[in-house]
Amino acid sequence: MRVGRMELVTGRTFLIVLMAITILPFISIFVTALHPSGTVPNGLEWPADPQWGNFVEAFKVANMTALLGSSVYIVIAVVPISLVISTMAAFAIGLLRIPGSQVLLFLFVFGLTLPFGGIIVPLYYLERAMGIYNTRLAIVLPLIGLYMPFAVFWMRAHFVNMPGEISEAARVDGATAWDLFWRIHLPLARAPIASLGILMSVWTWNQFLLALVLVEDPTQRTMAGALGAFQGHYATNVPLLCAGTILILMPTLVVFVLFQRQIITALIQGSVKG
Amino acid sequence: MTFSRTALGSLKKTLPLILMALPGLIYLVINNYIPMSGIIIAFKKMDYSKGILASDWIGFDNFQFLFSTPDAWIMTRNTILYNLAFIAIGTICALALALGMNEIKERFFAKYFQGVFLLPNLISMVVISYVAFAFLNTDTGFINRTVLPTLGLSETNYYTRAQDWPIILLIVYLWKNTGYASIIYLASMSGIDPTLYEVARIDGANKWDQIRLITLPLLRPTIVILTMLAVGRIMFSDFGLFYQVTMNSGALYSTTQTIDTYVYRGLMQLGNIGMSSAAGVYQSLVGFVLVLTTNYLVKKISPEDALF
Amino acid sequence: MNKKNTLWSLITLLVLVSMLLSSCAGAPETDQETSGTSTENNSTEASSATEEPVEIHFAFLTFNRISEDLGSVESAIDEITVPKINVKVKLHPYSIADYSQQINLSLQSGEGLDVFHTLGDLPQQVSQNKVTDITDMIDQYAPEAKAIVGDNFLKASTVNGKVYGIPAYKGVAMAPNLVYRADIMEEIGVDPDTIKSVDDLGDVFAKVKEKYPDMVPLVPNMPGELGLTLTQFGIDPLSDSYFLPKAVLMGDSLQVVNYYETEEFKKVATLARDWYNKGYILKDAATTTSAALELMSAGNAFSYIASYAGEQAYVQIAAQTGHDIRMVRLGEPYLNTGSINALTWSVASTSKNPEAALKLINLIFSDKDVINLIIYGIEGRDYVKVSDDHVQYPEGQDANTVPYTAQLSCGIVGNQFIQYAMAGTDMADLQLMLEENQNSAVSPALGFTFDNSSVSNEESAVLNVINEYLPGLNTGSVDPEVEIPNFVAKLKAAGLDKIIAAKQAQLDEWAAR
Repeated sequence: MRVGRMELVTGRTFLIVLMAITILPFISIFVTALHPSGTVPNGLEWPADPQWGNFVEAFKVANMTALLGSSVYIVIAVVPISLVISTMAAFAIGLLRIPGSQVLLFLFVFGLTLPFGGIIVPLYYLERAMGIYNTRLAIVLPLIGLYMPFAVFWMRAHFVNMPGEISEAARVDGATAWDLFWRIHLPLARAPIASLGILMSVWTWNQFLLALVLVEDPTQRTMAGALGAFQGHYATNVPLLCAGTILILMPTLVVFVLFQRQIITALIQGSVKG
Repeated sequence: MTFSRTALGSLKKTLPLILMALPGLIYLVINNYIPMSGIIIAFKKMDYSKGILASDWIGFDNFQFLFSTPDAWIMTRNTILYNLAFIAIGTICALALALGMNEIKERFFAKYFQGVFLLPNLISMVVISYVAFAFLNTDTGFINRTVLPTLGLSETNYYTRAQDWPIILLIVYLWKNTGYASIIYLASMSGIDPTLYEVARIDGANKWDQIRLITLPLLRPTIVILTMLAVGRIMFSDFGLFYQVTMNSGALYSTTQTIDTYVYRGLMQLGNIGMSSAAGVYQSLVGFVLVLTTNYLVKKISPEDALF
Repeated sequence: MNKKNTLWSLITLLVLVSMLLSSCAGAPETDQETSGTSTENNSTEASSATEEPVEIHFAFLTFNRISEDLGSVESAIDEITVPKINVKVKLHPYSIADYSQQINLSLQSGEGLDVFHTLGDLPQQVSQNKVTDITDMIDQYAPEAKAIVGDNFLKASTVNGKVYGIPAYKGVAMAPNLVYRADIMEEIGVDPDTIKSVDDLGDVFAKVKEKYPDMVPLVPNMPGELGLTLTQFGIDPLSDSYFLPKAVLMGDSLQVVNYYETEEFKKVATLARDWYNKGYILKDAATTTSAALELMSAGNAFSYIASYAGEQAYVQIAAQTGHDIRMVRLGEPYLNTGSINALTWSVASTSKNPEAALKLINLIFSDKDVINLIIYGIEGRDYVKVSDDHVQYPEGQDANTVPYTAQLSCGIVGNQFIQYAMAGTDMADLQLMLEENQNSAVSPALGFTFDNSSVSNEESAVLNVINEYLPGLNTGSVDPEVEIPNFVAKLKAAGLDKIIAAKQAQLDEWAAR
């Protein structure tokens, strides 16, 4: 496939410029993190005396080892289960047009416009009654529920756009609904599932409101919640806050770099239809 | 596109499907709908010693503060206009970025571009507000100390000039969200059969034609869904963006006060949970009505794109 | 069977089940309490030693890292409290970001909270029924605490004739101070004793600016707040926040006025504007979130204005910033209801054991060992004594590394005057604070609390207007001649007059009693 030279060059330059703009604030954050703790640096200057120790201190103050483990646990607990449940529900609602699916869809839509603040209090009650308050489950279970509406929509949109012939052909061959789901549609849905998984992982990693409210023990929350540790009574320790931010970013970056190949492969593979 | 009823056959065949949907459904109901009983707080005068159920019912009293203030119009206008701008411009930018990234065939570049663009979304607004402050402040800011003098302009105190902020906030929003949104579009794009493009090229279509005639139409369902979901949240705003990035500067209220910041500022001292719940209910209700309306309109224009 | 029916009946079932579950979960009192106080005790009689100790949940604010090991401290406290008052303590320290929310949630769920303190919001706590009326219980269960704090203090926590808590007994007589770099002060040749009030400062700043053009003479003590409001004597904010006053009393008059229409406010705003124009203040003072301490540490700030009790606060500031810091008073302390009841210890309205809770409160005012356990933890492990009354962290440790510490600033837990002091604190200063507690000038409205539930709509609107205009006026970044009239007009439009009228009515009624 030949692409015009001009298009290629403009396209590339454009993207590179965008990338530079995107990275600029990160440089600022990184540079700020190196300034002496408690000072107020002004953006882009490299400090006279780089304080690499800030990263270590941020790690300790916010108790990041515990939080790292906690966040990983929560992400691993939340994402796979959400994916499974929502895909199944979306399949049922979208592809098979079971009776009453309109109603169900309606319910899900309504769920999307929920006032978050309104549900926090009853969630609190519910969790205390169930005895899971102040455990990691307190964050895991509600998160799965909160992702339901969007996830179901997302997957349903994919299933609804699948050509009917595939399913017809399978039916003719005697496939049951379960076969249909497991053997045929699931592999085809790899791309949307992968991207949904990525989205949910990012959301979970950054989730701190739920963590703040439903879990009293600071070591059981997510890493994003740790940033609160740097905000003092009247002022914020900016260099440490920046150091903490970079630390929180690191795991995501690492995961992304490590699993890049798998993720891209998954995304690309979805485009090949058997 | 769908089965005919006869293909479903007997209950035996339907049951597995129902069972499949069940966990998601149960989860939804328990986790999202039961807590809606918390909405009751919006209609009550909360007496902690009696608890939520036993506190006095006061109807819509808690909602009044949203409408009786001279700022009611400003905050509503700001919230809606910003969201419309974010939806429209944000979608265009995310699409553009996704299209751009889709063209990168070499794995190497693709890897890093995607990763980099996702990063801004992971940074909390508090940190972003400090970065912005470092750039924009009058005494030591990068723009005031370096950029403006180079261009021969005098110094500007950005935090007192309300008119500059729609642009500033738009830029910050785009920086944070475009990469993340583009991934969603990219995923959908990668689901498009490449042979379609081949055929088009052979027929003489250039890049722009391909985008216009193949990519966009096939992406339409995704775009419509995401837009409608955003419409449902149109009365909500990103608190961090409007409160922290503006450094809570009073002089900027006329262009940066949204419903959420108003509620926070007004209720921070009062600690009135009934009023803050009322605000949430109001925002949700309007959003929900808007989604229904938009869905109705979309149904008229192109029925298969409607949500339901 | 019709497929449609199956599905619909399934859905109906689900809805019914969920409604059932919701009514269980929503009720404040459930049968399935897994945590919370034991329900064996009868709360009518004072408990005897043969009964099971009552578990009391004690919540408080801490600026330190939350310890993972609360158990050992709790056991040590129980060793004292079980024999004395038959109470076992469960500690719940919260950081500033979480405190209010956690308290609210615990109150709403009706369990897990017995004792907590207010954060300057006693009027709200009372009007929303978060705290218990202890008027009839205080003589029986907290007589020592009552005697220690005295009548004036209890007046401040009395609303409509009922006592709702006991204010923390600490230095509450706060005077506005100029906190400054002593070395620079010396270099410019100014004798601090000549500084008596805010009016003397203009000259000092001019001299600083002359000698050190890059140094900022005056930095904000909080975002948008130069501290000039604090230097005005005789203002009683009548249950409003100090920094966001609305309807206040000036001096001895019992007439409620709009603070922003007063001559005093105009004077303060004009002074700030003058200093802004002369370059004595940061141009971004209205919005910068850097606090005074950071700026002083960085080394290019000369001074800031803030209120402190006693005269020794500068010692700690000097240690924190690493510079030679002193302070000088710019005015005298003035006591009003809000300054005293900012930190009031109360019994939660949902507590199952209010008598036991009150007994515990009594101990944090009267028992030296209990207080020091709560604040400093266990001797030897979390702190070491350097004298009878002074302590410090063990060798090589600090606040972040000891297993437990709640070392708070100035006496939040009960009685400041019987807790150990960090090494280096001057005990004579505590004595001074005690005296000033008793002898300072007092507002005529001491004991009056405003119930704002009838004007909460206007209050939220007015607060938004204040947040919009006040920082700019306080820091001189806008012209008061132009902006104050705009400000006042908008306040009126937001309903400030209604608030004033409501306050005046309540005040008159209170005065008549």
